[in-house]
Amino acid sequence: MPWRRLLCVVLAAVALAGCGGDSFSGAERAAIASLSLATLRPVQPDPTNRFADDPRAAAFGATLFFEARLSRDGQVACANCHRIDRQFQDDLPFGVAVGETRRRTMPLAGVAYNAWFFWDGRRDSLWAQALAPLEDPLEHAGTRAGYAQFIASAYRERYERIFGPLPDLTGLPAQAGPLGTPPERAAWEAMPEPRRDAIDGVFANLGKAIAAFERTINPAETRFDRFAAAVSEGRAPQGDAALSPDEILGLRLFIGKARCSTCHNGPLMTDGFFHNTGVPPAPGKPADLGREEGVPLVLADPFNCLGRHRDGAADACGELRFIVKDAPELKRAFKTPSLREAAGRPPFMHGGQFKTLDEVVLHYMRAPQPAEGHSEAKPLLLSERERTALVAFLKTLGE
Amino acid sequence: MRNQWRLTIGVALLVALVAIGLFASRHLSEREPEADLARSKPSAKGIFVVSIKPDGPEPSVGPIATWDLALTRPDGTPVSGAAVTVGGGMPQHNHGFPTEPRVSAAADPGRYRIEGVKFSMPGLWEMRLTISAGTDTDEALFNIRL
Ligand code: HEC
Ligand code: HEC
Ligand SMILES: [Cu+2]
Repeated sequence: MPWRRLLCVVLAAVALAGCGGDSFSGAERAAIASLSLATLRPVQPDPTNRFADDPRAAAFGATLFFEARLSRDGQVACANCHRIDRQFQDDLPFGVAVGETRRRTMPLAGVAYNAWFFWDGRRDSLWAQALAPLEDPLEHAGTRAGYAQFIASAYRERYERIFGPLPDLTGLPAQAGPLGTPPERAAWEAMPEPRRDAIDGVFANLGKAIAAFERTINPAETRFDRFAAAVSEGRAPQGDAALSPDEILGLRLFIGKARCSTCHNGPLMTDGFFHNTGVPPAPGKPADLGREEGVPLVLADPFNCLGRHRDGAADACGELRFIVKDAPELKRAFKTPSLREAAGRPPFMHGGQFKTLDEVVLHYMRAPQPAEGHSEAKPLLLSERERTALVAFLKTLGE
Repeated sequence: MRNQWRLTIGVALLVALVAIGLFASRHLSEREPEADLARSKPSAKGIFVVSIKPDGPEPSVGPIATWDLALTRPDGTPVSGAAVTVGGGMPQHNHGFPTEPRVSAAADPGRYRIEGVKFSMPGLWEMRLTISAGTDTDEALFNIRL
């Protein structure tokens, strides 16, 4: 008899330990609040793009984002890969248009909060980023001279209302650009410098309009945010805001022992920086050194912050001026993705290496040696229950 | 009666154990090692006295900031014309700064500006200043907690 009672007491104590969800420590409370969408400040102005917050530019940018004629074959819009009904990504391990890219298409919610763009950060502004796929032979595959003429014929009025008169385009080759086919490059080289510069100006403006649109794409509130709001106001979470004991355990691991929130920090759950976490190379793709490749590319980009198509003063270029140029940790380092709604967009990582969140967590537990460089991930000891709890928590961030 | 007592003691012991376990898992595991957070200190070999402070609000995760640096000899004489380089990062995470800060001389004697300082995550950061003035070279290590 007494032993049964003893057992009951023990069980009660254990249950208490398990459901301590309502009794977060001060540090835990602060960590939870720091991840909540409520702490996301409005997106900072972008002085390098004077049209960044111009609603006409944003509307024009939205048109361009969905415009398939903005491509060599008239079939490729940004929205083909960044699908509006799919968190602006495509569910594929590698983006596909004219050809297959070597990396996973990135979602766009909250993209304007970044300092660096692409998995390797090879662009330093949203507007400079938008120019890259337009001339990438695997994506839109066009040339800037071709795009300028397309705008003149299809969107002259809208363009000019925002950016002022288009330059004189008479006699321009149908296609010409520094990244085109050899004849298109030759045609570009043959153009006088002021003319090339005028075309570059139009091209940059297309990027600035698209960026103005992308700045309006924001993450949505999730169950976790409703839970966090309740916790920080000290009231009991109601309805779907009440996380299950497993989800709470997962949250505790995320901000505690599993140390996920060191890199996945802040309301977007990313530090916006680059880390080698030992993710294996994408099968069938050429070697990918990540940030180590991205640094020289962004430094060489004529549309970077220190280039002549920036608006405003160069003091907005801190990230580029103080860029880490060579450090061993850049090798195979990729940009930390936001985890908001990540559960709803497998496959995961820069090459879609993992098909499920369970595989992701298993990867962090094993923390394998990377193919190249040094991994920052350290092996993690999690019980079976903790493993599923971490996955359960990730799902509270939206699917 | 004896059984009753045994039970009570057993229960008390168990509850205590669970409580200790809980406390340990909640609090001890989260604790980071104590760190010296002084913003002014002698350099490692005592050649300089080095002081840093943010030129603006206390550091936070995200923005790129400038820090002020003051260099003196132990007797208080300002040290001008020194060459200073910045290293460091997060020792517990084995990574460096997300930027490469640079130091330049400011107008006043012994004053410098550390530009391009950025912290990308909360936690304990190290800023290591390597200072050369004339034939003297020394280092100063600052801990900064965010
Ligand atoms: C072929 C599919 C495809 C097309 C078309 C495409 N993208 Fe992407 N996008 C990707 C892939 C793949 C990446 C990641 C590539 C990398 O890191 O090398 C990416 C990355 C991005 C990023 C970086 C996000 C971040 O967090 O750093 C932005 C922004 C973006 N694309 C916007 C656009 C815009 C604007 C267009 C149209 C002008 C466009 N994309 C066209 C596949 C595509
Ligand atoms: C050292 C920094 C760091 C830590 C710590 C970290 N991550 Fe990551 N995480 C990253 C980076 C970087 C990537 C992208 C890696 C790549 O593609 O090669 C990533 C990718 C992911 C992804 C895939 C997201 C997507 O959209 O593809 C998930 C999910 C994830 N991490 C969850 C976690 C969890 C859970 C933890 C804790 C166990 C954790 N991370 C700890 C940096 C980190
Ligand atoms: Cu760190």
